[in-house]
Amino acid sequence: MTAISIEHVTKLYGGRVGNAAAALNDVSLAVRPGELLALLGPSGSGKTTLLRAIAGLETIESGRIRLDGEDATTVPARERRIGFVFQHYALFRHMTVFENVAFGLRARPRALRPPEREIAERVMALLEMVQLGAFAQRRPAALSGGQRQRVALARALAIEPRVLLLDEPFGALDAKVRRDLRRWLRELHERLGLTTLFVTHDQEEALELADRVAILNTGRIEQIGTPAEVYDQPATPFVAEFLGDAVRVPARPGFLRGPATEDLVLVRPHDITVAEASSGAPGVPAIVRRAVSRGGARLLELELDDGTRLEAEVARDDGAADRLAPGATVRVQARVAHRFGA
Amino acid sequence: MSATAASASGWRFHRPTAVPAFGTAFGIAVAGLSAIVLIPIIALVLKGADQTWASFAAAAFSPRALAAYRLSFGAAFLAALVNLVMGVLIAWVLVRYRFPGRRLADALIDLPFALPTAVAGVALATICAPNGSVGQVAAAFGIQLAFTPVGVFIALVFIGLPFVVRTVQPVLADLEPEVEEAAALLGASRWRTVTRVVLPAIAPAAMTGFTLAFARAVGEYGSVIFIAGNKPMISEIAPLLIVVQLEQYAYGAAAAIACVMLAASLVLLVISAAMQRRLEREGADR
Repeated sequence: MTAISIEHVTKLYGGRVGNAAAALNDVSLAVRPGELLALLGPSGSGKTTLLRAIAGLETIESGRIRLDGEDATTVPARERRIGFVFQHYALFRHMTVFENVAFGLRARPRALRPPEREIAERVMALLEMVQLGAFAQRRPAALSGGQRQRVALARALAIEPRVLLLDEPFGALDAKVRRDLRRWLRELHERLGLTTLFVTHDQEEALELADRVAILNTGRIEQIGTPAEVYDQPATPFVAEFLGDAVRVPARPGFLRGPATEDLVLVRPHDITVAEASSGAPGVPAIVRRAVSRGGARLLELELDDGTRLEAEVARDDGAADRLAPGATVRVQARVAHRFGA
Repeated sequence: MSATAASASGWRFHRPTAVPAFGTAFGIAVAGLSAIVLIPIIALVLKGADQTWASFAAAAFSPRALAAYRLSFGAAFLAALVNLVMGVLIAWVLVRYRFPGRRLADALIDLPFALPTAVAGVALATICAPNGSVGQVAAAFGIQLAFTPVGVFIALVFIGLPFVVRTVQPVLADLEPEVEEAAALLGASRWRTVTRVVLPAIAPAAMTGFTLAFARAVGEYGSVIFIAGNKPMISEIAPLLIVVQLEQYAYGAAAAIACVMLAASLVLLVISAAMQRRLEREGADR
């Protein structure tokens, strides 16, 4: 049983076949109940389009979308019972925070609408949960970005949605608030156990927050797996490069462990061993061209003896790090390499 | 202007800001406002007061004058109401939909602004006359458009339309479609989305447009006199009555009628401003 099942969904921009690129190209994805899944990709990869299609905000040309097993492909957005949080919150500006959260409950048909007293209780409980109980009578304009995002979340949860969809939920927030809200959202997800899909272009965010990550590129899913799987075993060169700066390197014996082939080889900067030339370590000779300290790491721009340039990242507490100044000659070797058939 | 600024050290006329030249800007603004608006109005009030109360009242509250006020304010109010509904609808279509000829339609909106009012008046009178294209159709139903209060109303609708469209349009363009999508995802019907989400958001702007259209319609002269027929007690508007008095060199009577219109307009504008503030403050009702 899957919470959301996307089967061969295709959407074309402009809605005509043969007219430019497909926004979604035969996308299939099964979201497990209770899972927190990230849709990760660069802008224009179709991740937001996919999210909006699940919500019923975009029509699709072909394929099927099921929610809890039921075919929802042609069900209008209003009847899908989906909690959706927009990147720019989309709060109702002329309503108070309380009224924003109560909107979904009050919009129910009369027979299903809870009495006003119960609505008030539920809204206040939700506002307490997002730590905004004291702000019930404020207007959205009087809140900070992080607070608005939490109101948007409370509003989405008020309708007791089957799934929660978040479109770049932290995109408009500054770094500190982003980190706090990320951790808080993870905790909330663990508490509620609600199936959640979120869109992001920030790989760090996706890897840190999600149970599984689906990487999209030009309307296709390149790979789907746990953060460790997609990082350590990228299925395509795109995934390797998109998740944490992998650099293309020539397949040279000595630099790579194992046989040198004609394959496309990608290496992550922190998977490169840099040793002093005098140490007699294995590898190929190189010259340090530039060295920059960043956080706990030292970034080295290296030039191999054949003129190839590549970037390596070494830990700063490594005693040798200081001696790796520009001009130093070193020996480098890749510990881990991702090979792809040419 | 920050005349309400109350700092810890007590009330101050102007709170110091990083933006200099408050004194100069404020001085020019007040002087300009006085020269352009206040001085003519004061002159008018003084002229109106330069007579006995009996003669003032005889001119200002004669049955003919009262009928003219009723027509001017009544027709202006109805026309502004029509403009409110039509204007919001037109603004909606122009903002939310892309269709061939949209730019042309958008440009057409401003035509009543740009057209000399007399031209508009003659054009409207021509098509609305009993033998005109629109007038014939109306006549078939036994309705006479031109030279009746209905004609006045038609002219005022024409000249007032751009005000509502142009005030609502930018606000509507500013209202992200995501807000409507959010309402739909929360289970709201289209009707509920429009009445609870869209309309409250544009209400203050629509009210401003209504007020502008109404104010313009009350003072409108050029386009109305050609289509109205100007029969005293029936289709004679107050501004025309003023002109009639002036032509008879009855300056006191003209000023008296003008003073009544001035006072009435002022009261209505104050009421409208208060309503607008309430709309802005008021959240969605239950």
